[in-house]
Amino acid sequence: MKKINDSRIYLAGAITTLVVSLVFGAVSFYSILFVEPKVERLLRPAESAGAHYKQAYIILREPQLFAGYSNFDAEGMSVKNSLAFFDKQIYSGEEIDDSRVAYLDLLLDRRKKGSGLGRNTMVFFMMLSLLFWGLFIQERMSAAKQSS
Amino acid sequence: MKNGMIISLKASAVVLAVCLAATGCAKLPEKLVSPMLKIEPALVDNREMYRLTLNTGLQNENNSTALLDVKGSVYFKAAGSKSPRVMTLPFVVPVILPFDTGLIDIEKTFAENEIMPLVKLLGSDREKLQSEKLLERTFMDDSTIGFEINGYAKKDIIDLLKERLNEKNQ
Repeated sequence: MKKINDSRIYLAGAITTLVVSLVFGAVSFYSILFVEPKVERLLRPAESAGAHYKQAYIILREPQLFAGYSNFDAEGMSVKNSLAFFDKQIYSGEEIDDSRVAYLDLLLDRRKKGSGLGRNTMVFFMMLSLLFWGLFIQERMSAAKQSS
Repeated sequence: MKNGMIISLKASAVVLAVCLAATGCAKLPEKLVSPMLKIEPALVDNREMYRLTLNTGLQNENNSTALLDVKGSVYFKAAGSKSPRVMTLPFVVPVILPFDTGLIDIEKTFAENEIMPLVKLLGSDREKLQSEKLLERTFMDDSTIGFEINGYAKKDIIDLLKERLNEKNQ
């Protein structure tokens, strides 16, 4: 009985998972390498200034892909309350003083958890892709052996 | 014929996508937050009038969209979908930020013939109101009080906050 050649399926699986992995990786590492360090610098500047906290908040107000601001569990309620507080504070032109930095850290921590989750998802899809590549190569080799 | 159908389906899909993009998907408030109504007799220019005070709010449940210049009206009506409205009170809320509640505070004075249908709807009457000097309702049935939004603008919260920061820095 002739063996069915599954290499096309494996190739499609390998490419799809690789693309998904690269997209998640790009989004997560952009946050890890550029956004989070920038926020850290704004939160802990050389000289204390309220405007830095506001800039940091505006960056943090854009949620990370894996740490959106739409669903909150009990732990996330503090994040929701912080968003409501800082939105109002900036809209009404009030200053953000040093005592509120802990709440900005809370938002930064959520972003870090989101980018961490994105990075882990990237690794998962990368491993899946490697598995597909392995199966693809094996299938091609056995097909070549069969034809010879 | 078949090609024509495919083209019209594509055109419909494009129109639908454009409409969806234009209207966006901001969630509008669906209920009034803790409405509190007070009606009390008051003398205005030596005329016997009634002062109505309504305190309530509208909650913006969007996570990134601020609602601006929200115009609408609160109305009172007897239970039943076809019952006529006994009173309508217009309101304007300048801004409701995400996760926040925009406050509606209405204070208005009415003549007796204007306020009595509402007083009766709330289970009181002129004599009782005159003797007790106050009619107050804090827990109101959703079938008695309602609201409608006639107009609003929406803006992404990040754009709005950036604008406010720039205004302040200028």
